[in-house]
Amino acid sequence: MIVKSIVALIAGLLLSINLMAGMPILKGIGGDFSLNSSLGKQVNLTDFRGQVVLMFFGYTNCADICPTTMAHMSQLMDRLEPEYRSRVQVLFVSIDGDNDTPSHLNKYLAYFDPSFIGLVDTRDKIDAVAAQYHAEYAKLAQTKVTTIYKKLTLAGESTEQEGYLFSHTAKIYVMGAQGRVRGYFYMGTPHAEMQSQIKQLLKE
Amino acid sequence: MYVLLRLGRQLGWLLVMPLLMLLIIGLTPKVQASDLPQYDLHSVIYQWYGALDAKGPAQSSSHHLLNIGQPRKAGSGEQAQVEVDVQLESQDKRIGENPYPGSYEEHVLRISSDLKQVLASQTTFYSIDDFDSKYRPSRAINLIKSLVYAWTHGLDSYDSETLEQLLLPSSKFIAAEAEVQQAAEYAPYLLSLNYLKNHRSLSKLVIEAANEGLDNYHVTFEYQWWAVNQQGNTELAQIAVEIQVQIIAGEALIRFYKEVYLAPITDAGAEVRC
Amino acid sequence: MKFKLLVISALVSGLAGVVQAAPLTISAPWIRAMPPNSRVIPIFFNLHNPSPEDRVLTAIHSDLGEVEIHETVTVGDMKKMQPINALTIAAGKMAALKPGGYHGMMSHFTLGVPAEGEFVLLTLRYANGESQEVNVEVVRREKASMLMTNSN
Repeated sequence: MIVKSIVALIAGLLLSINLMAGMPILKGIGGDFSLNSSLGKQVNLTDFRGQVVLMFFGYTNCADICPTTMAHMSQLMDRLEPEYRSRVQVLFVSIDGDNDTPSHLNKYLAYFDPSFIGLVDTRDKIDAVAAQYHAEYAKLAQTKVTTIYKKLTLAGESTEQEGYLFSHTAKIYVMGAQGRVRGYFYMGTPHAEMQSQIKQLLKE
Repeated sequence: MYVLLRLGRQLGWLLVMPLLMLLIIGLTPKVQASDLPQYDLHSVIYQWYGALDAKGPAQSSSHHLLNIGQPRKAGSGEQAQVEVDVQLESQDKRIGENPYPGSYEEHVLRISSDLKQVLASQTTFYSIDDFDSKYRPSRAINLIKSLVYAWTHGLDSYDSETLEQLLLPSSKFIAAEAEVQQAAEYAPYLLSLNYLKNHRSLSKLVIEAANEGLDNYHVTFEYQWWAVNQQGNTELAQIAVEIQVQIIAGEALIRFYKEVYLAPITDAGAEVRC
Repeated sequence: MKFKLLVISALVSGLAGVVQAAPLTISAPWIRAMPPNSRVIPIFFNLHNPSPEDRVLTAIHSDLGEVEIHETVTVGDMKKMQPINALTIAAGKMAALKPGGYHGMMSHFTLGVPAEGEFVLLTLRYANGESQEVNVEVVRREKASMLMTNSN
């Protein structure tokens, strides 16, 4: 019991030391890009100068990692005070251009938070941005996904519902107000840590 | 620390906890600069043992360094030399036959004040192993480690001269930073970044014999490059380095050098937190 | 007389098949509310096996779509979700289907994507032929995160 509270206290102390240290500027990673978006127009990273950008790679045919990350991000936004919330931009880069069109992304992301922007483009352009950010991803064989195909008619959607599964990095890239990568958040990063680091970045 | 633990049992953890917390604050540095080896010192030491290994009939003795201690001043005055304790495992083919008995040894090395020369070596402890082991040569390893440490020191201290001396004239050079086209541009470029502080942490060093002939080696390692810029911000980079080394006349030199940026590691294990 | 009773009881126990094992306890079940144009939704719950034998979950069935059991695995710097054929819940132990780990994945929806507040009836099928049902609520935001924390 006492040991547990000591450990908790020490962990809290180390966490606060970590927070005081701030996020370093990361070199050899990141950089500007220009991609097609769920807004129906080209979006550049430079469009968000002055804001903290939280960017992650994923695809909408994903049941676990991406929605969990998305929910984590939308909860983060919910809990931020309005004056900070307006200075944070979440970007979702789709690695599944075949199935994720700009309008599909728009509808999908709006459900989590209407401010989220989806980026999707040709395979080459997405590959280039992924390489800039050292974001690994790979398409897994389609045959592994589902063994049964059903032709269903859903209003406005294609009749075939097939999809790929991907393996991809789960990092959420954190960019400061000058557009430089400052670190990473993850699905499990505590809210206190994320909020504190965002506020510190916005002070710069 | 031990005294505190005993106190803790007697006085109760609640009383000792604040003391423990203060101790942990004191012991948790943001940057472990003091934990990093002094690269120039280590380089000269590895060179010394590499040279010893090269003496006599080919690869007849080996010296595998286990630990290099912290340097201390020897003597007084401005020309004070440096003393370092070294622990190593040595094998000498002249004693007995395969398998060879090795020995655990402790040496005190006397090094010049400019850290460029080992002046003397004294064996302070010697003990023959009570087990036999296969002979493992160490000449190449020691010479290559000497090279890598000297190179790292050269980068950390913007020392163009040292860097140039470690490269073969015909060597091919690819820096991580696209701006740097040739080796000679590297140190000046680093200097132009105007860092207040900087150092590289070396990890994942792998040395393999290369196929291209005798005394060629393929070496890979990673740098975690830490710096503080003019604005007081910390900058971090992770770099993967690949070099082809050729050993000529008792010196390891670079034939090919390539650096590539990796995703910087900010907090190992963070991803696992749930 | 005794012989008749013996025959009847043998027949009855023969018809009943294997003695019914204790059902698993399902706790903190939830489905993450997903956008109406989603193609997949995740299903989470804890399964506790109070019996002295291992139990193996082999399938999850629903009238509202097709369900596969998936596992999120980490491969180097990447994560991926892959289908698995069976999930063993060891005797006396618990298996958690939770974000970042095992989860059910429903797709090919028969009546569209289940919406927040709706309930989805699932039938869990086990290797020993047994099955049990659970009615799972579709939740989002704070309610979802609370359930997520509880299941850890």
